[in-house]
Amino acid sequence: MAGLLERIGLLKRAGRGGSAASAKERLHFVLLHDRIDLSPEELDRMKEEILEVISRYVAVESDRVDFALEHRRRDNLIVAEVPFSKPKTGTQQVGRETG
Amino acid sequence: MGGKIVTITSGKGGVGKTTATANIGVALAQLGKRVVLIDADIGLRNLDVVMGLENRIVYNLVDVAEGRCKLRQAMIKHKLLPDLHLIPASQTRDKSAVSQSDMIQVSDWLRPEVDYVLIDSPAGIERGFRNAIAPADEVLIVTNPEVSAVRDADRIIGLLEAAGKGPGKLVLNRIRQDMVSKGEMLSADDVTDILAIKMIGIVPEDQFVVPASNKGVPVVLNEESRAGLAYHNIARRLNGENVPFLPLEEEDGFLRRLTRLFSGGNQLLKQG
Repeated sequence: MAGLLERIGLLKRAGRGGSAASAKERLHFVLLHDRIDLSPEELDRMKEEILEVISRYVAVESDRVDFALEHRRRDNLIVAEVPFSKPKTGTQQVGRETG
Repeated sequence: MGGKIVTITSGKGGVGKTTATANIGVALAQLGKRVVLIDADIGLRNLDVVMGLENRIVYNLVDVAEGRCKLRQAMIKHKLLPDLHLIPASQTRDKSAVSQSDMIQVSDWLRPEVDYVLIDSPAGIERGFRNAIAPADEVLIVTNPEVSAVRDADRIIGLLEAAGKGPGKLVLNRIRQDMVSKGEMLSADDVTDILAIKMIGIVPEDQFVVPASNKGVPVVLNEESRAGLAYHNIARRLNGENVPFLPLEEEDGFLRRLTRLFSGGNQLLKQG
């Protein structure tokens, strides 16, 4: 979760002077979290479940996974970066393997 | 068909809901509309003083809801505009004295008699807010170009949508073009971008607003006031007219114009 919070809050803060720019960035950040209306625990659980699904198909480098909330144009987005090392073989049997 | 019920709300207190209600009401009455203003802020009434009608109150909204008087008896006629009336809130009761069905009932009684009912909502997202939006055909959300006010407006927009009353239209109040130009205040475009709802008015901070409330004469009655003009334009837009957004300030010094040129002056055209 820390990565998720920092990514929006800090990356954009640099650049453009004037407190209005910082007000706008802080608002985008705070509204994303207000709008998604999930506790940090729920967000973590969501992240784990998504990774669990992806892991059924490919090998995930789980220490480099990054989830972020982003505002782009009119949309609120959950953006996931999930590096994988190599595709798993035999994905057709996924259903049976994982039960 | 009959009249339209418009609720003015904000989430955050102190952003100018009551002032907006009073001024839009007066402006609609000046356009020849029959208007009733309802103060739904039970226990913290203020629309009466903003309208300068505080010394004429006999009955109030709670008296109507509890059947102690007829609706007509609680309607106070404005001094200058005979088609403008106020139904004041009770000052001695609390929000539980009125229910959503009371608000719907009162609105239904008024609908055939008037063109507009404007309901001044209390701050917050609790019972008083729910009461105020229950009968609404349309909701105006008042906000200021500040982080806390915009955040609360976003919350209100979400609640309105959940209640089937959304998305509402935005009144951006107390904007200062000089600060926007310097990049020290959120612009109307910034706020529209963040909240993603339609703007119905942009009201500049204006030296005439406080004296107007001191005197109990809504600023829209002062022809010198740019805030007054902005409220007048909101009334016309509410009434279905397509009124362009005007510059926030009179054209002034060369230096100011130069500043604008270098700080995204194109925003100016959309404001007012």
